[in-house]
Amino acid sequence: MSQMNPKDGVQSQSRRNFLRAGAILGADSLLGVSLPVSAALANEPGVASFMKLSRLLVNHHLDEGVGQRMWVLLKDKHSNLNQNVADILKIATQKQAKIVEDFFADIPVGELQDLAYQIIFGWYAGCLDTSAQAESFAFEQALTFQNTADVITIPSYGVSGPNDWADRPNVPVLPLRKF
Amino acid sequence: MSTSSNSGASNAEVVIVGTGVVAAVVAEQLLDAGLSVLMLEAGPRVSRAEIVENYRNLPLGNKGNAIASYPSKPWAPHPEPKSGRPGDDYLQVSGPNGIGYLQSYVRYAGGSTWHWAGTCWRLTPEDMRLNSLYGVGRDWPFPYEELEPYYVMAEYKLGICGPSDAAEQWPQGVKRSKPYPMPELPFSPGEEKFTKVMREKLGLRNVHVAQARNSGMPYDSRPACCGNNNCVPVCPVGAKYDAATSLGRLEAKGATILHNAVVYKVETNANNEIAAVNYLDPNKDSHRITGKTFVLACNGIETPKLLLMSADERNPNGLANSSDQVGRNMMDHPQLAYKIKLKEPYWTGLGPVVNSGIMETSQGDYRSRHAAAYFRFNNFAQNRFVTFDTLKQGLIGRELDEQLRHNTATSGMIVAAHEVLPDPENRLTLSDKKDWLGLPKPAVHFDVGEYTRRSAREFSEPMIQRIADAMGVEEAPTSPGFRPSKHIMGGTIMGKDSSNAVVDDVCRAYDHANLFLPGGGAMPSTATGNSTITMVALAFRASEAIIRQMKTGA
Repeated sequence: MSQMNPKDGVQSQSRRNFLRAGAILGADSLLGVSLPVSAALANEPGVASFMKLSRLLVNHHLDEGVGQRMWVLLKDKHSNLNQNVADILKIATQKQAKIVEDFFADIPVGELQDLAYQIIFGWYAGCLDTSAQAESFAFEQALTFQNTADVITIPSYGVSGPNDWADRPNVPVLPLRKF
Repeated sequence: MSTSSNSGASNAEVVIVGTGVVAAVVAEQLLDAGLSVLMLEAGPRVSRAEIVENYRNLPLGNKGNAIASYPSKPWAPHPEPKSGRPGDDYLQVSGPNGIGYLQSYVRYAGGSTWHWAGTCWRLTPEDMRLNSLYGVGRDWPFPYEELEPYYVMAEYKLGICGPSDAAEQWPQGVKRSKPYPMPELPFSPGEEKFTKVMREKLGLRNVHVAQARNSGMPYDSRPACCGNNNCVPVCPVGAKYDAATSLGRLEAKGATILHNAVVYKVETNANNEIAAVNYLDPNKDSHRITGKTFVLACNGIETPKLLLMSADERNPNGLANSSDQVGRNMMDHPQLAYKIKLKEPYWTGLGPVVNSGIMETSQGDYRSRHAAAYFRFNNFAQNRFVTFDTLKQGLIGRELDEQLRHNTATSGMIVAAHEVLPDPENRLTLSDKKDWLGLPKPAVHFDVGEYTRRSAREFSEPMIQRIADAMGVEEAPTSPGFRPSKHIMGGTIMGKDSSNAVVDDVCRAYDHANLFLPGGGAMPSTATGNSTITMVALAFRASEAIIRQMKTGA
């Protein structure tokens, strides 16, 4: 790109405004590119149940590709994964749960609650534990980054354009971003 | 990218060991003067995309590790503590502050500017006269006024943005011969608030960092910064200067660049001039490169290591070492970093990761008693630092989102970066432990010294508490102790007297007329600001001397 003449500047500004408008329109959706979905895993009954449970444990739009990758790793850690997922889903159904607050307190302490927490952990952190060697199955889709993407950068992804973060307000913590 | 050393070349007028910022700047000056140049890089040559993907694929628990995106090759290890990789225990550290010298540098084509923040504070005139003014440390062999034109060259070569308002510039009250090529970068919301709070509550001026990053416009065929907040470990778009961005241009100008070429011995001739360098390739085969002039610019640790490894009959203590100062006076900017938990949001994470600093605290007559320090509020997005602890609280749903967002907005880090004095006992030696090629690993003994410890005790720690109080913290911050800033200096120190210095005022080795050692190793004082811009200024100064010497014999 070379130095712009005044006319180019006007055009560029218009385009920037257009892009900004697009960003605002899309602010409620998931930022970033979705991970590829495996057709083979999509037909795996355990994955469908896992995604159904995930959508009850986490009150946000969830990426199917991320879910598949997490499920594969969880399956290695939990020999009883599918049964435990079914058991938690049964509790949610009994409570006619729509969101996590509707049924989480009814999940018994122990294996089932640990799994529920680990699934939540995975969606927010993009990995299943805190170690430096953990396998990462999500970065920009990890919900900890999505949770603040209306205010700050997901590192390595640009916020908009050259110096376009100037004069942004130091906003309050709330309201929460919808995503 | 190839993994071989694309060998075949065996000589050039100037042989440069290293491909980092100093090597690249020297190479371009010499090429422009019509000299032939051959550069050797120990490590691989990789694409930016590969490093960015390495970073993005790291687990959250390792994303704060600046070196994890640069896995070292067995033949070119760099420090990678606790990684299980070839560089795991490569750098051996010892002494009272050994862990404070566990450096991070990159043995890849392009060197450590791959993962630098881009911060470019100039030295002040006083920083170069510590001994004359305060009776401590060493003076530089020339005054600031002689360095200033080279600072300008560095600012235009690297593309350093900075404020046009003289009151915002560093050093303050010192004339610049040319403005910065680009305006300063904007602050994040948190930095705006920090700046206001410091001014109103403490009377301190938090100023824009001069930084090698394109501000609001493209420069040097690189794009403008778009605030990716990932300068460390890698700028994904190349808006930040790193030497890798210049290597293609050097080749277009005629440079030969060999990668995966680990120089292990520098040879002298009967006149005790440098005759050749020898390198090992990944097959452990040895090759010899001859030239007329030689430049070692392969990192503040690797350069003195190579000089010591090259000991011969004429130079039994290592090359350039008749003064016994090679590998001594190892310095850095020991930093105390404090995680803080704030009462109100100070959102960091928009714009560059280091974007401002309080530099005015680094000057004063107090330097006769204790070290200088400067203070900064880092601008890293805080998600990766707060997520695990928040998740451990057992929250769910909306409560979890609110707490996570609160912790991200109200967490931060303030840092005190200190100067140290050159101390010959802070010394790099060759370890008896060997790397994959059988070459000795570097060992560094390090003690920050009482001058710097006193600064922490009497000056910087109390100042940090005042800064934290002014910002409004939940509890008094604590620091785990001195850690490295990764600004390696002093190992081939410059001075007027050949009996206690390695290089002269143009970074030429006293012992070898055709050997130049430009870079941080030459710096006789550290001050508190990041060293790269001064290293590059010295690279320009050395380049002029090399050209003069090769063209006129002067």
